[in-house]
Amino acid sequence: MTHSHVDIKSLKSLKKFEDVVAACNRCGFCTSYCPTYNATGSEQYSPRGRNQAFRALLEGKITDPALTKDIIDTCLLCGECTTICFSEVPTAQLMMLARDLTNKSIGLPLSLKVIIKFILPRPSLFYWMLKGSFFAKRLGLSWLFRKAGILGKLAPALAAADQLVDRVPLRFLKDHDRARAHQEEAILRAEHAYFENQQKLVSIKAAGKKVPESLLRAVDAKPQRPKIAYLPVCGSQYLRPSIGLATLELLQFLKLDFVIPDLLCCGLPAASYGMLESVREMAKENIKRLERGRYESVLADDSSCAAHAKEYPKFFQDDPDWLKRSTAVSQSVRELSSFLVQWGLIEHLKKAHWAYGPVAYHDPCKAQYGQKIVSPPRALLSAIPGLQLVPIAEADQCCGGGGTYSFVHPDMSRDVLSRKIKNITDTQCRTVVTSGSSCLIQLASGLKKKGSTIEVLHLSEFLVRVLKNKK
Amino acid sequence: MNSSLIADLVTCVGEDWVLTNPADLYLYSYDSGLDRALPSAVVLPGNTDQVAKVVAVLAMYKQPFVARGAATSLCGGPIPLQNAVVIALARLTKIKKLNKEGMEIHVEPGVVNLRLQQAVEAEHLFYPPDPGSQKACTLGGNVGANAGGPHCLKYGVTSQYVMGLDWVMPDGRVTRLNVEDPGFDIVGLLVGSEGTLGIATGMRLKLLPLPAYVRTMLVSFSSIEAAIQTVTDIIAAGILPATLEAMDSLVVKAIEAFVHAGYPLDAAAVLLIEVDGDKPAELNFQAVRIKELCDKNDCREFRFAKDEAERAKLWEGRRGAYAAMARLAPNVLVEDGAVPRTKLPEALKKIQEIASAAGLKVALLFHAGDGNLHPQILFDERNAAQTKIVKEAGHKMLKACVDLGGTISGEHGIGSDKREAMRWLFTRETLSLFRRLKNVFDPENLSNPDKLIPLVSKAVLPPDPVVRIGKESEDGFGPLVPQNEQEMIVSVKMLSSQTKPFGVQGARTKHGVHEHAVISTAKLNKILDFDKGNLTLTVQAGALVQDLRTHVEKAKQFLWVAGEGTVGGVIATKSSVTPPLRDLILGMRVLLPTGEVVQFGAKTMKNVAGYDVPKLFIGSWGTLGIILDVTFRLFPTPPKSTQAQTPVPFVFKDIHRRIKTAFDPQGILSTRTSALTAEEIAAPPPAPAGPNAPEPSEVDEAMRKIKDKFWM
Repeated sequence: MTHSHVDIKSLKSLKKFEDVVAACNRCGFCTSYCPTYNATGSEQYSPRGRNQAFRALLEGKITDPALTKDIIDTCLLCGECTTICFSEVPTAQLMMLARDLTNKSIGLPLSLKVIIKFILPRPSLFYWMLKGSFFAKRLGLSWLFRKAGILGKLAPALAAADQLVDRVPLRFLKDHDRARAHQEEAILRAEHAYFENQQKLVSIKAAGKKVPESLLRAVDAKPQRPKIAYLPVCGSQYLRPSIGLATLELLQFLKLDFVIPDLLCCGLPAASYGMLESVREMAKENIKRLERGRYESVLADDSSCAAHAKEYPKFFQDDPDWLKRSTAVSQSVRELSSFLVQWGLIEHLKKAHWAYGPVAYHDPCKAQYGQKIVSPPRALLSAIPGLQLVPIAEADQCCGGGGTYSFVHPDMSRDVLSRKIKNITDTQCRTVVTSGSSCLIQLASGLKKKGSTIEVLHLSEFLVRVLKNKK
Repeated sequence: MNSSLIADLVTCVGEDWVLTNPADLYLYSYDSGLDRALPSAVVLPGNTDQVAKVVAVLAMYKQPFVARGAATSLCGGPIPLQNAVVIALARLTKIKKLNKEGMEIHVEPGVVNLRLQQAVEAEHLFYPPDPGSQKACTLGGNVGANAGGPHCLKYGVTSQYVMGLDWVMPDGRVTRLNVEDPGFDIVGLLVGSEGTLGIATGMRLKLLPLPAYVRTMLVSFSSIEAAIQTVTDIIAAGILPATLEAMDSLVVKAIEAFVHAGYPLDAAAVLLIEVDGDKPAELNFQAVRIKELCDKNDCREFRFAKDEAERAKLWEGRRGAYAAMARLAPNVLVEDGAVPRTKLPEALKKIQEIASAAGLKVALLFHAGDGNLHPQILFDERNAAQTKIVKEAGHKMLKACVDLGGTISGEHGIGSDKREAMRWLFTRETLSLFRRLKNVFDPENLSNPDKLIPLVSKAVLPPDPVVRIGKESEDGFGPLVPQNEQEMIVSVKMLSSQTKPFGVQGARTKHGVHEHAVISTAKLNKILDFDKGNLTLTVQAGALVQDLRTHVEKAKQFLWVAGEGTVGGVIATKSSVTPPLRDLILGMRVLLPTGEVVQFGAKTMKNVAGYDVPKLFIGSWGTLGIILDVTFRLFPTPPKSTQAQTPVPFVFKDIHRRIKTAFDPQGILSTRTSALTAEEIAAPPPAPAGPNAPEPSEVDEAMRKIKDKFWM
């Protein structure tokens, strides 16, 4: 291992967090609630250990950040430890800062930089890149990619993802009619057409000509920009568009008018890698685009992305202007299950029926810890007549998905997952429902490896299925 | 670090489970307390066999090592001094077997205390020791530290629940020990030995039926003094609640800010009292009595937890008190002194005086019912001058507890932090015995080195040299009946000086010695102290248990020792079975065959300072030393059932022989471990042939005088 040094500038900027880290008095309560500690019994994979490692870096007791990289990188960022901690040490956030420090001290792989700094902020590039690689995989070329190291060079994460996701979609959410009609583009086009028609009307009137009937009708129907935006999260768009389609179906079922604004990735992957500048850039762009629509609610059907968008203000603590703007936007963000409860889906579910075996609900960490959302999904599910909702033991524990974590730390992720899979299979359920695509992929791959026939569905997918089951 | 040692460790556990990265090692340098030391490597065995293999390898290299659970110790217990290799046991988390009918559970050492509680509660069973750190601490650590907790007031500490241990000796040999084994209670010695005598890789724990009813009371007071006086009154009134916890306003505010359990924020002090049992009427009666006593001390608010959820919240808060201190300051020094319960108000006053003299902020948290005090001094270790003041004040508080007849640790242990304070509590002779015991188990001083016992220039002292006076003699003695303790000591010193074999007997109803000289404890039969307010009884070993029972019952208190005979005899032959004698003895003074007097324990309900040597005397058949006096715990109610038994003889094994060398380096004390036969009881022991004519010397003259006085 080559010796590296702490980036002094970055260290100085972190000095103000010294007291936050020092608020840990090493009582150790967090350890037995940390999934990576439970999987390994190792202090270096515990919240207390990670905080002490970061503290040692800040205090100059450890001078080589390469030594602490694994300790800091293996945090799942689930946030459970903070809910246990009497002094509420925000370990997950501290680990993002620690990763930022490590990145600046020893650098990041080029491929990762390319993806996060160049591709993620460019939705169309992202779209085509994914489409290309998914297409190649369907053609059976992925072994060639792997061999040639193309995917590997592009990003180690994609190579691993390629192994985990076995049936990738070729049509993304955008490519489906159900979504197309609600794209922001369509709204913009309608608004533009309305505006043009008005102009036309004015000029026709000015010329004293007869106004065509069709033009009058067109001018009469002023396009209303919906108050609800559906935040097109990457998982529901690209990895499993059926989630996005199901959510749209639920919105239509509730007769809600909505728009799908054209947004970038929320920036969560960048945050996970501690690339905080990229997080801010992406957040700013998304905030600008959301401000434009003046939405009352911005619905995200992935708990992780919803939580991240709600946390935008945390990244602008030193920037009063953006703090204000990000706070306003983040307050409009809605997580799926509480949104559905709010809009009265429960009444409809009561008229439906489920007779296909026990159902278990898996809480994504970013729902139960990031947003303290635990009861709304259960309220939805237990409203369904005939549905037996079975609890999963150790429901507090992360599944090990953690966004790209499962690709980057496959061994640790697998160890965390195997405990979760055992707890799920112990419930004897037929279906597991969850609301994060990372969890969904993780659980599905774990169950499949175990030869289990338990089906994993996103909450939207499941509810659509239920609603089609009317008595 | 020796690379071939590392390679051998890797062979034992695999490459992934041997840590040498300096940053990883740094994370094994601390516990929840203040002391730090870097290990030279960390090994994480994946099963119990691997633990033994690892220890064998380390022993081969003479490499010190320390076992570690979750490192929630507050006294430096798992800190790797001497660059020890850390053997982390957190991967051993299997609950191996739950025997519901027998109410026992067999677990690995890495199982977290709370996980065990949850697992057995599902079966309507109950594991009482509940240390504040129960969310994280492991049962291996609990056994090492003889952990306590709020519920230990009624139910007793960890050692009452450890029925058997799979033990890896410091040389790597594995043995299984049970409380039921004939002979010394070695399990009792190992519990609380803080990893200095070896490593537990499995333990068989006793469980109780979950009490059917619980009533939890939250009482607030305008002063901490009033709260503590209430505790003293409750105990003195003969009520034994399940818990009796006291907190001051600083603690209450810190925990309430996190748990929102409804603790009163305006009170100066709060008591959390719980009574439990199977008869609701009895609980109500106790609750009414408790309320009367609270009212008598002008309590402000008195309320019951309305449901299980509120009760759980209140307890979550109480257990998180140490953790919550982190809201107030980056570091907390928690002391752990214990005093006789009647001394609580005085101890409180002393602690407050010490804190204010040093200008320190102290939060007060007491297992008040047990007389166990946890003053928590708030500071920031980044301020070196302040840290020094804090440590000094902490030591002063402990000294104050010792001065009040208490102890330096009720439940946290000694570790590295309180090592030197052991000198205040134990005599040089007792500390020497501890060193010899350590030497018996760990002659190379490898297992958690430099802990528990104050350091001396050499790690292990040889037995104190015995000055020989007079000549050896082959002839036997008749029963020697010293009239008082001083005579007993002098006569044993004399026997020791002549390396003369001898034995000890009490009322000669169970055990005696026929072959050698015999010393009788018959005349050492006085009640030394009957502390009604503290519910303790200190008596000389020759007192008859049947008389003692009658005596204390006059004061409506109960000695839970069954059977008949002298206190020494009942203990040495383990003839009182139910309730277990091992749960009743708080302290003991012993005369070793070397003539040294050693003492253990105190009049406190909890005490984990030093090795739990009194346990070894239970079932020792007089082979280790002469019990001089014993402090018993008394109860306000009679035992649910009692059972005495005919003493069961046992055969000395290697481990017994080796333990005996620590007590009796000369090997002069009888090794007879069987009851007297009917004929032997009928026939008196051989008459003494008379003392040898010794070389005339001053000492011998003195001896002769004594002998003349009490030869029978």
